[in-house]
Amino acid sequence: MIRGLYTAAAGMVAQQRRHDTATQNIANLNTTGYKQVDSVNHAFPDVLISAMINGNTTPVGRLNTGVFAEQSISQYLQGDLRESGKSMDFALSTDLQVADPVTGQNIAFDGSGKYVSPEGEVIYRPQAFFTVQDAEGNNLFTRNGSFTVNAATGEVLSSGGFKVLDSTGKPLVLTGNQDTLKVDGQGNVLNPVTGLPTGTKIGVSVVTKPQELVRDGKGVFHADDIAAADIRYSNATDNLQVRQGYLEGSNVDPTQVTVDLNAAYRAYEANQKIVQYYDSSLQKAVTEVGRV
Amino acid sequence: MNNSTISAAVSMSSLQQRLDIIADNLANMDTNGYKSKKGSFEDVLTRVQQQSDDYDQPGRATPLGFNIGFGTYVPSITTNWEEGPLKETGNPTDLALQGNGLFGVQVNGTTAYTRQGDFHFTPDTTDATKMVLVDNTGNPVLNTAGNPLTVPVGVNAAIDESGRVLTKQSENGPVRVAGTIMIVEPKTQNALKAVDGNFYMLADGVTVQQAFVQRAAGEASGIGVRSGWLEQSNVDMTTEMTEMMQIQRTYQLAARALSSSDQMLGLANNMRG
Repeated sequence: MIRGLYTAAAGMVAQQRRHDTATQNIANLNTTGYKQVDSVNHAFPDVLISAMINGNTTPVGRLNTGVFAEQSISQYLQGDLRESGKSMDFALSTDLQVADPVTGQNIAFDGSGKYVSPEGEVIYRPQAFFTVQDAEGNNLFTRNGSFTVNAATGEVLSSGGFKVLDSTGKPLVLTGNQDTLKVDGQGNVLNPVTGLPTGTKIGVSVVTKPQELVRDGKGVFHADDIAAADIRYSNATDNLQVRQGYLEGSNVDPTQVTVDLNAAYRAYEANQKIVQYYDSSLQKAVTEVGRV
Repeated sequence: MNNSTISAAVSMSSLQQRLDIIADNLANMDTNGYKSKKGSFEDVLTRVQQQSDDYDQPGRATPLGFNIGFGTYVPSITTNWEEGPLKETGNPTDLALQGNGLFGVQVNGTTAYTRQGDFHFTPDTTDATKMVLVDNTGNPVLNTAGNPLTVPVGVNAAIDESGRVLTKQSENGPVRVAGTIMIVEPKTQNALKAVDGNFYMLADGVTVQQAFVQRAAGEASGIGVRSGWLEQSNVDMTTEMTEMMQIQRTYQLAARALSSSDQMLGLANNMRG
């Protein structure tokens, strides 16, 4: 078959993936703590084309054989904070810095949280998450701070039903009156009367390599390789704030997502036209050239 | 059906659910003691499509696997317990609660709780010498012992700030305490679940000790009973209309994604002439 037919088909599949990703982002325009997903395409390896003339092969050049959707990257940009006024709603406002080991200055990440060093090394900005635990005891990470307290046990649960952990890794338990709960900017639970820390602290994890996180749905991420993701609990030197009474909105940009949707559709259509042209070329070859 | 279609359809139905909640709130804008409901969104469990090692190309940042989502759903509907505005009615048995409390009433033999305080006295069907304090559907209000609160027939009754019912036989007679209305103070916001008729009951698996603050006799609870006032609905028109506009626009975008994916399927169908 004609080589270009498969190239165009691969293009259609890749654009379908891009369309799916844009639809997923649109669906989550209002989800608390949602982080936009972008699909990244990668070209197939080029092949070397040679022409055979009188038994001699002369190289013509390189030919690309298609594209595929390689990875879905999450954009961990800070979402807008909205005041909800509820004492059990929390939002993380983060602006974590990484010092460049060469210069000692803070690395200037670009708008999407990425920095490419002069040597070509790609560094992503570290991100902070609330730590939750599922029924099997695995640690999961989420930015959705809309918590509730189980009236029977006092355990704090996230909106997806997972147990929220404290800074020592054990399930967070709050026994006092919910209305008077006070939490400071580091996540320390304060005594409502004296204002002093009670010793309990909401577990905020700092993930140094957020690109290693895998999205699970229900608002949580998990790390397949914990060492590779370099996860630790937050300390007082991290540039982050726990805001009580606020919720972080979705960081999806509606304009960009709609444009992505249209671009994916039109690219799909263009590839479909190419397939139709190949199809009619083959039809010519079969019905007219090869007519007996 | 492909992923885009499923994702858009699932999120449109969850947006519809949110719209239903808003309609419920707007319908109850005038119901006394009504607490507005709020739905939250979560993204549906996503699938990570497996990728072989060939996908590990140079320049790849994330672990192997392509993330595919299927829309959103509404995991829970929570109640907004903010206090509503108070309106003076002048009727001494109309009660409004200030603070984190609810009245206890008996509904069909079980104890239910409500903020709606438009009570009145009615003759007791079991005892001709007594009057029972009931709510607007006839359910008796309970006293602190858990029994319907009764006063003798023909007295003047007044209710003070801590919920005690004070009665006087005649203009200059002695004041007697006929009973104290049951007022409970929930510890957490999901100790109660909403049931029909603007009532709340204990959530499943929660006991009275776990749900409510146990105060010693005479200890200040911060809850005040205002006689002659009624608490209005705490639905804020502005918030509900803003949210409705947001949901309508998101619904429009999701419908746009649905029709776009439908057209893509049409393109695939029409490839071959």
